[in-house]
Amino acid sequence: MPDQPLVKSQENRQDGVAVLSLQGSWGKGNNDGFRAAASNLVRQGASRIVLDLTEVTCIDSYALASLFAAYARIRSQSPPGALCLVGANPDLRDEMEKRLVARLIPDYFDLATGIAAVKREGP
Amino acid sequence: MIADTVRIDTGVDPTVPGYLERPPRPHEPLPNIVSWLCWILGLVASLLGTLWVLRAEESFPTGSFFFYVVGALAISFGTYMAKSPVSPAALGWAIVTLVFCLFGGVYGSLISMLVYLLSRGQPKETPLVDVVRAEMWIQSNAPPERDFSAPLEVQFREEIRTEPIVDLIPYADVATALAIVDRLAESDDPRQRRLLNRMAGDQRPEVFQYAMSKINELQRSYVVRIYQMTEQLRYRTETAGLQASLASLYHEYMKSGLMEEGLEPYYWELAVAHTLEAMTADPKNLKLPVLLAALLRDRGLHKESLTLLESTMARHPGDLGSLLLYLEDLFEDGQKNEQLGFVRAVRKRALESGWAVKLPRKREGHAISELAHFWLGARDA
Repeated sequence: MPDQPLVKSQENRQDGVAVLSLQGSWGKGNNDGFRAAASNLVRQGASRIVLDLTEVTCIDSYALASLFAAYARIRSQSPPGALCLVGANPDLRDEMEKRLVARLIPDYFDLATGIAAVKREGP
Repeated sequence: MIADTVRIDTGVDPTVPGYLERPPRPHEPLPNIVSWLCWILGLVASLLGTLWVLRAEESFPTGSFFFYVVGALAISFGTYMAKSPVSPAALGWAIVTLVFCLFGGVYGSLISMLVYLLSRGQPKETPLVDVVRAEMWIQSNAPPERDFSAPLEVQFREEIRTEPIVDLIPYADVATALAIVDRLAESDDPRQRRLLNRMAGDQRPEVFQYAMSKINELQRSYVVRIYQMTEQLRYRTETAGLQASLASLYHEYMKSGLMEEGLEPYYWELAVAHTLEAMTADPKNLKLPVLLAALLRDRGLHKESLTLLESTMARHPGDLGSLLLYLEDLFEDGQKNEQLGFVRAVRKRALESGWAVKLPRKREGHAISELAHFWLGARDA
């Protein structure tokens, strides 16, 4: 089975929320795809980002580090932007829980709730 | 409360690479022919006035007075012309010689001319090296004593540290700038190291090359250790401790003030990744959440770092020391960045948290006890 790209799709919604959907295994090997996509979004001026992890099967420490870097970058904007995770499966939550980083970045079960949350918390 | 200060030693070894002799003084030409003529005329007139007054019989020797004044004015004008009318000091010199001539007669005229001629080429102001030596004070590494009884705002104000007079650096001569580089390189203070990085941007090649050599020397110790640990990670199977050490080293390197700003995001990500890896392998190591919290704080995620610490303390309520030390760190950082609001929030959070009462009693004199007194007050500590 050929390697599928980490970033499945990127949607810039009319309400100013950008939805970045990822898929497959997210780790050290394919982390650059996420970094590039997140940088592009920030460069384009996105300040409300929802990261859809519904189709992500596993995550490692390097991916979480990149996630925190992107989160810090969004939060350091003026005014502070908002980023949240949606659709993380129980395995992903366990991985984050093991590293004590669960709930540091807001996460929601479904996309609609996540979009509402970033619209509420974002600039 | 205010840290001790030490006077900077600006003596520079001439054998140090990049040392240059102080540049020669600008050439000042000899007085021109007009000046000499005026001076000769003035001396003759002054001499005539002196002789006249010796032979005068009237009560006020008008002729002698006339020659006196003419002589003084001629010598004064000669000095003015010698100094060049465009020089800002010409008028000053003219007035000085005029006063000498009027009050000193022939001797005064001779002395004023000699003073002028001997002062040619002398420095017109105090050399900057002496100014810097006199003015530049930098902080010693002595830890300041805290007065826990003072209000937080007072402590905050008193903790504001005096920065070195870095604005003088671009105007310092090469020898002084090299001495400052030496002094900054000796310091462990990250702020001094950042100044050293700034000096590497000096336009004078001697200064920036010397600053760069010092920075490279300091960076080498970090780079070598990072390389050694990274190599060990490739071959060792039990890596939790090594990952934690490597993450700490990255963090230390970032905080050292030696790292280029452009590289910081890269090393920050690596530090976070290694910390998280170590946490999965060794979940009981309580230093790791503290390190991760510090890393998050470095990127401005203060709320998240405190949340992480609180969740850690909820799981391991006995490890109060780490948290208090971390709060201390946060406090200092808040002071540096003049975030009084943040400092207040940290203190409030510490006071409100339930784990605070778990501090062991009867530990007077211990560092943790002092911190607890600071954060929680005498009653709660």
